Amino acid sequence: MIDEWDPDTPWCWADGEDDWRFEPPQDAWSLITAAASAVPDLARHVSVRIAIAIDDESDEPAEPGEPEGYRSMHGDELVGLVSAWIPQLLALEPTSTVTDDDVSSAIAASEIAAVVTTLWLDHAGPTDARASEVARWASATRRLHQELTHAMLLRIRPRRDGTFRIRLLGAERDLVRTGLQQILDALGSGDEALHRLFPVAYPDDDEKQEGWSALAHGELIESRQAAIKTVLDTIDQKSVTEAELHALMRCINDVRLVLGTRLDMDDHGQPQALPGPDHARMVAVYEHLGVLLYEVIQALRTTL
Amino acid sequence: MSETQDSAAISVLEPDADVDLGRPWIVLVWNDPINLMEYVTFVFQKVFGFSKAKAMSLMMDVHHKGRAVVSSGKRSDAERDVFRLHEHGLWATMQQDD
Repeated sequence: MIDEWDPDTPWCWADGEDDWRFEPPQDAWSLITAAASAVPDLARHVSVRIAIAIDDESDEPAEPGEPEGYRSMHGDELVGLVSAWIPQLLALEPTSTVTDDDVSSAIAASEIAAVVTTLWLDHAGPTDARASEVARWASATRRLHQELTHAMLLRIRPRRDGTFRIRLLGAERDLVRTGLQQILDALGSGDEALHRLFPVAYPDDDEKQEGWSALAHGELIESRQAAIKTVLDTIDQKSVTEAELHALMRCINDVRLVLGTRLDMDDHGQPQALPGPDHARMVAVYEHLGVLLYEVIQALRTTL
Repeated sequence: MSETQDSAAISVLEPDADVDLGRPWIVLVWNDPINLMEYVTFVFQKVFGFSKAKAMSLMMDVHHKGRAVVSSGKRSDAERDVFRLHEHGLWATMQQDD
C-alpha cells in the first residue's frame, strides 16, 4: 500500500553528532498517537506467530497447525508485550531532539504497532466500521517504522540546517581520492581516457563543434578541477555543506564514467573489456562507487 | 522592394548560421550504460527544476527510446543547458529543431 506522505522528505533529521530531530508530518503523528492508544485493545483480537527461542523453557505443547519452532502469541501475553513497547513510540516527541536509543526503541515499537494494526485488518475484514481508520493507522505506523529504520542506516544524514553528517569508510575515501587524483593529473595532460567527460555538443556541425570546444572545453576542465579540489579538501570531514556534497556526487560520477568507459560497459551495464590484471578490481570499484553515489543522491534529494 | 533584392538580402545572411531562422534549438540527452537512472533523474530535477515525475519520465525516455528532448529555446540557452549537463557527465547534444 502506498501512503500519502512525500517519500523524499525525511521524518528524522540528524541533529548534532548522534542526536535526531524528529519532524513527522502533523497528520501522520496524529494517526500514530491515535494508533498507540488503540493498539493494546486491537491486540486482543489478533495473534502473532513468533519463533520459539532456544532457551524458551515453556513446556506448552506445540499448537496444532503451527510449524516446528514457532508458536502463536495472543490474548493477555500479546497485550502485555504491546503495552510495554507502545510508550516508546510516544517518547518520540515531534520537533524535539531525540537520541539514538530513543529511535532504536521506537523502531521496535512502531513495528509492533504496524504488525498489530495490519493483522487486525486481516482479522476484521474491510467491511468493519473501523477498517478505514485502522488502515490509516497501519499506513502511518508502517511509514514511521520505515523512516526510523532508514534514518539509522544512513551514512550521510541530512540536517535541518542544510548540512550533512557524513561517515564514509577510510577505504572508500581512499578510493575517491585516488580516482580523483588520477583524473586531476589527466585533466592537465589532455589524456584520451577522459574523452567521456567532454561529450560532443554539435554532432551534426563540425564548425559549431569547433567553436564549442574552444570555449566550453576549458570551462569544463576548470569546473571539474574546482569540484575535485572541493572534494579533496572535505573528504575527511564529518560534516559537509550541500555544495560540498554536490561536488562529491559529480566527482564520484566522473570516476565511474572514466572506469566504465575503460571497462567498455554494454547496454546491460556489463563490462565487455577483456579481463586484464586489474579487471576484477576495477569492476569492484565501479560497483562500489555506484552504491556510494546512490547514497549521496538520496541525501541530496532532501534539498530539492 | 523587389523579389531580387529580398533574395540577395537573405543570401548575405545565410552563411552566418547564428541567425535565428525561427526554429528553436533543442537539447537532447542520449542513453549511456554508465550513468545511474537515479543520477540522471536527480540531475534533471536539479538542473531544470523539473518535478520528480517529469524528471523520471524523461529519464525513462532516455533509457527506453535512446534519447529525450530535455529543453528547447534560444541557442544561447541551449548551450548553457548542454554545458550544465556536461558538467554532470550526461551525454547531451543540441541541434536546431526540424
